[in-house]
Amino acid sequence: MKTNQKIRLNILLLFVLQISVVSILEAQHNNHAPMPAEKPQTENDFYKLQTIRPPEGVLLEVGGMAMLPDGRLAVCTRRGEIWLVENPSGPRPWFKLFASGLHEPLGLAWKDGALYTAQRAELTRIVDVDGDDRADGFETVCTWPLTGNYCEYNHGPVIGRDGYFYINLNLADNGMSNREPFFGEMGSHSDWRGWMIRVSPDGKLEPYAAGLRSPAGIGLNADGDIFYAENQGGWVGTGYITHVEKGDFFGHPSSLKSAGKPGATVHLKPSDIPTNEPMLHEAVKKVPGMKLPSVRFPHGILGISTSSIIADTSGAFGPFFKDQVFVGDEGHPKIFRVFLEKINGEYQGAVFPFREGFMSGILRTEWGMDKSLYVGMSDRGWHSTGPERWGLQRLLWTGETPFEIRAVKAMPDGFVLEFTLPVKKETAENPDSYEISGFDYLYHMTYGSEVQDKKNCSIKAIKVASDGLSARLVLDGLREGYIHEIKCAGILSEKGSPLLHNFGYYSLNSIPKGAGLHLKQEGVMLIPEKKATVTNNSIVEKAGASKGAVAPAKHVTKMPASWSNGPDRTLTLGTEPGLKFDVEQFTIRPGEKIRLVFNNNDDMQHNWLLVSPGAADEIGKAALDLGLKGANMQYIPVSGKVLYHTSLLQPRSKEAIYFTAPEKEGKYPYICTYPGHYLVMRGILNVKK
Amino acid sequence: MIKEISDKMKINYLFNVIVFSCCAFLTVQIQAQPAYQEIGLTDKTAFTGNTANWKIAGDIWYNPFRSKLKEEAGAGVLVTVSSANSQAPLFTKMEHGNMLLEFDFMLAPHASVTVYLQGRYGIRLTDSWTNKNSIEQACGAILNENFKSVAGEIRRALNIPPRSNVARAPGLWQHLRVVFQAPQFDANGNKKSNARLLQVALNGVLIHEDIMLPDIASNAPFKSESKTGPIAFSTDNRMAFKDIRYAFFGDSEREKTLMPVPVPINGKIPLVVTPVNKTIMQRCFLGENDQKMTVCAVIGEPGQIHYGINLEQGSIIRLWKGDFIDATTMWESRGAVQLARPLGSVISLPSEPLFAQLANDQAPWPELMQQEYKFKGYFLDKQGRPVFNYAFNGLQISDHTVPSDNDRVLTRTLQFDNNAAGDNLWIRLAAGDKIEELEDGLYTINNKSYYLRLDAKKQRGAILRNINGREELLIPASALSAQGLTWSYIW
Repeated sequence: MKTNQKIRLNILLLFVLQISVVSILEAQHNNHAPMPAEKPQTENDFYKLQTIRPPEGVLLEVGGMAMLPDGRLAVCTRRGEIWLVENPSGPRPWFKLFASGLHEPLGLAWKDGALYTAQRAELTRIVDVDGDDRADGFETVCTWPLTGNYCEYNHGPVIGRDGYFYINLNLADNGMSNREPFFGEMGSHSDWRGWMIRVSPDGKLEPYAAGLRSPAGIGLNADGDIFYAENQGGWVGTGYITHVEKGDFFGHPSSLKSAGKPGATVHLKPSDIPTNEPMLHEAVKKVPGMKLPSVRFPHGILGISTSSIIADTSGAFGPFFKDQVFVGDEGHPKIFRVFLEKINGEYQGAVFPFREGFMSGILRTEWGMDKSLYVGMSDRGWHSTGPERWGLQRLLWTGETPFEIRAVKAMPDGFVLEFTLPVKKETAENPDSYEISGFDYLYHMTYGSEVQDKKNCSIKAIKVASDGLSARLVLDGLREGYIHEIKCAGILSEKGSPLLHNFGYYSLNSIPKGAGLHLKQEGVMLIPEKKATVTNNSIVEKAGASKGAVAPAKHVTKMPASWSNGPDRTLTLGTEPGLKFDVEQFTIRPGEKIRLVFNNNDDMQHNWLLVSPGAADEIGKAALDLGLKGANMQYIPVSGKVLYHTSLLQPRSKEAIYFTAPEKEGKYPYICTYPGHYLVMRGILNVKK
Repeated sequence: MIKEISDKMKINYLFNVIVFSCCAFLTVQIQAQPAYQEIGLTDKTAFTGNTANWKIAGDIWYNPFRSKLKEEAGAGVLVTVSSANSQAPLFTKMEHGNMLLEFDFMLAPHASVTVYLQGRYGIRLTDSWTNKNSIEQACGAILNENFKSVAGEIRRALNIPPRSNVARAPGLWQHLRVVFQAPQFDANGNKKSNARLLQVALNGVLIHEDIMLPDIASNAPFKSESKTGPIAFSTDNRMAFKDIRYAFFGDSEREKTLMPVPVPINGKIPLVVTPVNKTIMQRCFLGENDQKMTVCAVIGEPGQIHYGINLEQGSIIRLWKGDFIDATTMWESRGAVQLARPLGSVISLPSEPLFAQLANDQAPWPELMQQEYKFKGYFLDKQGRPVFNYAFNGLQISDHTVPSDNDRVLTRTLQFDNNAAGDNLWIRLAAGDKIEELEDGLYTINNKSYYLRLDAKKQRGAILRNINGREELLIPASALSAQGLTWSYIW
């Protein structure tokens, strides 16, 4: 025993010595030619995650959170409970049941000694009259009509600067039968569905804005203006957050069924909606009162379903991010960071990755007294890519400054990129450090949209500030109304570190007026024309062009003429809610002629890919990494390991494909490669003699 | 803390794996029922045996609180003769093998009757309302007394109690549905397979499933097993039957006879909510898929007496006993169906408004609350029972329902300032096909499906009216004392 320990100790010592030697060598090397820090820094080095576990048996499917003035965190759950968490930032938070029996409350707010929540049918004021930490008074502040469709969720309330309660009324699921061909898969079957409503403290309901689809989040920016978060689907090409003002219309026509009703603040008719599938920036010009969302989140790249909205007014995540907005995502358990600015009177701005790795789909966020951000999660019904189905975590800044693009600001002739730490000047002055392009999405009933009209911008000039904290880019090819992808992978910090996240998306709804940068001044790097033409319009991607890139043999939708006796076997599968195929395994014989019918009976898009044994994760991840190209490629990566596939199917549509089963026996995984789905949506085609 | 949590767990997340009580309903298509035949009750010719103990009547009333009865001459109801004191059985002339049997029955207080299938296998129907005993004594137990336990073997108890007590009060019509599979014998008369009770449902709730009957009951009229036999009824108490109907079925028709059993969604564990120490109040939708009532709550008691209320109308729309609710369609995945399912034997009441302003006492009752109505919320009392608040035309009304009388009765109290109520405000206590006053303040509603009792002795001014073929029990607010109005639901 003793000898063994000694030996181990020696080995350990040896290791320590070796590491020291290596470190010294690296340090010497760095003296000559600075290199990136030896270990690339991660989000976790700057923002730490802690999990708060409720007692056993408590199902904390968080629907809402509110910080009480005494430091307790109130958490409501989708099964209708409210828990008071004492000392939530301590080592052992203490859970007390405050109320139960509520009807799917999806928001919690504290005001004047009471908690407020939006239940299925009403806004409720909840009080504890006798002070025993159990709620006993449930006052109905305001009711609204509903049909009882499960999707008629009510998100909120959020209390505005005016003291009013703001609540989003989700549309209903139109179900399998596509019973509303024009409106699509989400419908409004009672008044004010698809509207944001405002309720006065004395309970008066006011329809505030229309055109909402699945508005899973609502919150205030640093100035106290109301923002809401929208989810991709029919009439919504990609998710977004947007500023909301009274009378705004955001595009989903189902809400317009109430537009003629007394009290309506939007007066459009469904017939005002263009049906020729314009791009969104074109549509807003045609529909009076329709507003471009403040900041759009490209689908699959920056999440898939935006939810919580919260502003950091105290600089809790570092002074550099003060007043920025943090947006959670339900499908990809991540938080994104949004920089907002007002251009020509309206909010617009940029969204960046911020922190991933949460345990489940994020629904709500709330600041703690200690400046940590509580993150409440539940992905029930819409399976997230997180490892768990619900949870409560808190996110804390470590005090270290991450090297990030702090902000992107629009300029009359380009952008200013601001950084949290000084940049290495030569990297920021090098046009090859950047890649900038613009694109849009369609406005149509079809679920989601491919990326449209993507074109690169070329850099004409760069001016890096003397403090190294910003780079002014003068661009050719800026397009108003387009989302601009800004990648700057080549930029290093003064100390040689790469950016923690090297891209963001700026929604250039409006280009500021005024003169551009005076190019003939000191510090302005003019980029020669020649250089510019290398990127300019060289990778124009037409919508759908890449569809042709998909090898047709892998996607045969007509029975091959040679199959004179028809297929040997027909396999049929559909979906189940929560990202699942309804058949987990098929067994077939090698070389059999197969007709596979995939019936996408879900309300999301899915595809079906048969891949080589063991390649499910690789292909799924490759699809996720397609980025902006993904949608146009139907999320089908170009790989020899993709054997056969269907198209990306719209909700409630089906497709039959024909293929010959592999000759080699084995377990061939099938997956859906819609971003993130592959983690759970998969099955096995067992090829066996 | 620990205690609170564990109670909480029991209350809200008691996952009941018993398939029957799961009721995570996928609605099962009801198959074509086999053709029924009726046992005629215009006279006693369908019967043999102790016919002296029975007679044919037109209708019968038992008072649930005392042994008093009222009879009406006529046909259609088989009742015991009041002087009868013999347990000797009454037999049907009909003899049966495999059989689906349904009938309505009514018990006097303390009464019980044993129904012997093939004259051998007994189901005991007993008044388990007056004496709310343990489940072993509850209505619907299967008698299996001859089947003695043998050391070293696992055997069923002597009596197999129902899964829950879903019996109704004496004097109310109850319903039994039995699917019986006869024993089978080979050519030499040796038994090949035992008799089985494939299903027994009392008042619409499955209380037994697939119970093997290896031997006859100890007191059965017939002492050895055979392919067929008559139904025997054995009682020395006061009770009645009506609508006795049956259908024979072949072995291949078995499935057709079974009442659809709710199947859990996607094989998931059903989310059964069970009140343990405290009352549970859960907001929910009630009704059916295409016709949901969206502003509702269900209130469950540890004493297994529950109600559902439509708060848009102030009306109690469901009364039931037994298990509380299955919340699977609300809480599993998206909760696409999104309905709370009462699990016990449910009495559905009409959902029209609790109160209305009527021009006169013959004006029809409105279908919806008038514009002046508002549901204001609720307060929870110390037991966690809600006191609902309504505003109606400036009047503040509170509505408090509590179990009473050993959890056999729900007593409801409305309080408001009756001076402010105005002359034409009416409260509707009940509506149904037939409402009868059994004695002062005690009414049977809807052909004796439940009782309504006006609890204060002097509830003046209640009127029974018939509007468009529907009977209604109304009371004008102006007739009430300052204490408001108290009444009870008894079933």
